[in-house]
This record gives sequence, structure tokens and C-alpha cells, in this order.
Amino acid sequence: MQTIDSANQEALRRLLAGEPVLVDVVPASQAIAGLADRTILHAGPPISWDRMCGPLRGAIMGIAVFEGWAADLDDAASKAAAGAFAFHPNHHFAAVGPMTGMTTRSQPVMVVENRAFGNRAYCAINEGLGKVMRFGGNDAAVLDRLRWMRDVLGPALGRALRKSGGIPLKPLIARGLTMGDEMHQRNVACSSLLLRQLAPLLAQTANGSEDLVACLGFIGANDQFFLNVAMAMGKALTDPARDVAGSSVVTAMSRNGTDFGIRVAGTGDRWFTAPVEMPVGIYFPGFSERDANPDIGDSAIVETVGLGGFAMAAAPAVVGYVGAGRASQAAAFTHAMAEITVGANPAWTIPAMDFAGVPTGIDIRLVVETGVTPTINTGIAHREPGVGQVGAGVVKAPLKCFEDALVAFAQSMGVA
Amino acid sequence: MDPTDHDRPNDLLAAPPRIVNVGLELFAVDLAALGAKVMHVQWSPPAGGNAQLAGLLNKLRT
Repeated sequence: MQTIDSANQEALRRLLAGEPVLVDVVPASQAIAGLADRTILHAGPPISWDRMCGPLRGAIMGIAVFEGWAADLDDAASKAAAGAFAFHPNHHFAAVGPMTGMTTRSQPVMVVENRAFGNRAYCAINEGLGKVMRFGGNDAAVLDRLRWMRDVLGPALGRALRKSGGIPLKPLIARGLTMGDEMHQRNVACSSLLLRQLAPLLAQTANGSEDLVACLGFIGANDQFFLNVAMAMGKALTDPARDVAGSSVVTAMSRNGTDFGIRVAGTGDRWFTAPVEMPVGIYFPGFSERDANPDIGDSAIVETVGLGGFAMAAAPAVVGYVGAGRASQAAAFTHAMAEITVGANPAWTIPAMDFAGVPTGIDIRLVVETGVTPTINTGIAHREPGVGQVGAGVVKAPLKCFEDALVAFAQSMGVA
Repeated sequence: MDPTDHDRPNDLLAAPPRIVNVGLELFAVDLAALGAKVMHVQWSPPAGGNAQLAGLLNKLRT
């Protein structure tokens, strides 16, 4: 009989064996089967309009106007409340999205193919910092930027990537870790490394120099451009582990601003949820924790594959940025995550820890036994729709998700 | 134990205490504030002392 430990080793093997490659950017309607008209994919586990937080409602109002499904924001809110739109988690469509995580038909999505297993995962393009839709922004400037991304940037990136034959992400991440990125709140190295590969391809395929300058300038000005690539990669890596029977390894962690949810290999696609917690961090000038929205976004998929808070030791600069203490304490976060994971990733190593691999494969048994919960590095959104990012911090996954998952897992194993 | 050990001065009692504190960190913090050399070990009962979850963990240990 297969033991839980051996099932977990199989889940870990699948997580580590993935070969993620950024292959394309296409409209979501073309990439995601079943993404219907007036359907809005969002971050986190399932949620209804009446339980959504401010930024998520703000983003939904904005994207409905962007798609032409509502005349203005008020009209969008009325229609949303009346049930005119279908809401589903990104995770149910092989997709992920940062913060509010809007994915709709005409948005361009980045396509990451896991060539070891043949599956694909999707994520919209990062909009940059400041007032953006992922933080609930929905004014004219936000919607104009999305239109430019749909009409110019997305098609340009698609042409460039198709010409490249695909950009392998595993070695790129490995290099980024040695350059101080943890791929959640610090992506400056990987964004730069990716742009270095994209720039000549964009130059060869762009529709004129004006578009080329705009695309290069947009990517070059955004330190977090790579975050969405890393997220699609995380989803592409974790999906093959979703059906490992008898495994207690976590295959998804995600938040919708109201609930935190996890999925576990041995219990399939069931969500285990608990109220989200408030990030603890540092606020931009003029803002404080009174302005903050609770934890939100699919971006914890990067922690699920051993990056972000799990790779904190690779990114001492992030510790200060997210207000988590001194740079010298960075390794303590990674050591703590090693206590709740089943292995380490030999392909992604941390120089400051003598090239130890990032801790990978969260085991719900270890979380419940130790009480040590996953550390997630995160941006902080304003609680009101339309304002945007107000800070960055660290948040803990709620223990209750793991306790509930453990009970269900025990039932599935016939021991509860 | 070597029987002659009984005849030697006991270093443990003669030297300043070196302390390993397990569990509640407050004790370690107080001792450190008094100048004692103390190492804290983070520990808590399995599943935070929840008997039902600890029982399930025992059954899921393989």
C-alpha cells in the first residue's frame, strides 16, 4: 500500500520535474476554454458579490466597463448585484491573477507551458505600480492602460514569444534567486533578465518604432513585471500534482480579500477556507493600517512552489521592504518554512544558505503539528475601491484552513 | 560514571548558569534581560494541544 510519505514524494517529484516555458500571449478567450461572455474570473476561492471586499468590487466594476458589459461603474455595480455576471475563481480555469486577479475574455494572458507534463497555465500581464486594476483601481487612466495592453502590448509580446520558440523559466528563476529576487515582492532581477531576452525579439516583430518604444518603456519601468510570469509558472507547476491520491501536499493557496483558501493533492479540487488575515507591513507615505484591505490575490501560488516568503533568504532587501525585520533575519523565514515542507528544490538555490534549495511542498500534517503556517509576502491594497496599493507586508496563512483540510484528508484516508 | 568524579568540584554549580529554555519564550527573555546566557527552543504541543487533531496526526504519520 502506498504511504502518505511516498505519495508526498510523488507530489514533490511532479512539482520539481516541471519544465515551465513562457510561450505566448493571447486573448484570454482564445487561451482559456469555457471562459464565456460576461464571465469574470477573480482571485481566491469562490465568492459571491455580496461578500466581496471593496477592491474586488472596484475591479469587477472596472472590468465590466472595459469589456463593454456596462455603461459606467454604477451600471456595472447594479448589474453585478443583480446577477448579470458569472463569477468564478481563476484557479478553476488553469489561471491565476495577482491581488483582485481580473481575467476576462478580451484581456491578453501570458501562457506558460509545462513541457514535462503538457499542461498550460495563464495570467494577465502586470499593469505596473500605482493605481491599477489589480488593486481595485477603475478610473479612465486604468481602463485606457488596459486597452493599450490589449491592443498593443499583448499582441507585441505574443509575436515576440512565438518567434522565440518560448523562454524557459526555470533557469531564469534560478538566476534571479542569486540576484536577490524572491519572485513575489522583489522581481527586479527577473524582470530585467526577461526584458534582456524579449527586447531583440520585440525589435524584430514590433509594428513600428513608436509601439516598440512604448512596450520597452512599459516593461523596463515595472520592477514587478515578472510577478505575473512567475505566477503563471507556479500554476503550471502545481496543476500536475493536483490528483496525487493520498498526498497531504498543498497544491494551491489563494485569497479573495474575504477568504483564504487552500487545496490539497489528496482531497482534489476542494477548497478549505478561513477568514483572511491582515498583512503586517510598511505603508506608503500618507497611508496606515486603517486604510488597508485584508489579504488578497492568487499570488501565493509562488509560495506554494517555494518562492516568495519561502525564499526570503535569497532577498534580504525584501525583508525591509515588507517590514519583516532586519535583513540578517531573512534566513529565519526560509528555515521556518523548511519545517513544514517535504523537500527542497535543487534547481532553485539560495547563495546565502550555502546554496540550499528553496523549501518546497507544503505538508498540511507538518503545518498542523507545528502550528507554523506559510509566510506570504504581499502587496497591500486600499480597502476602498479605486485607490490602489498602499503598502507591502507579510501575512500568515490561517491555521484553520490546514486543520479543516487535515480532517477531510483523514476522512479520505479512512482514518477519521 | 567514573567514581572519582565525586571528588571533583562541580563545574555546573560553580560556573554561571547556561540555560536552554523550551516552550514559553517569556522565560528566556526575562533571563536574558538579567544577563543570563540562554538559548530558546521554540516548542509547543503537537497541534497546539488539540487532542482530536493530534489523534488524527498520529493516524496519518506514515
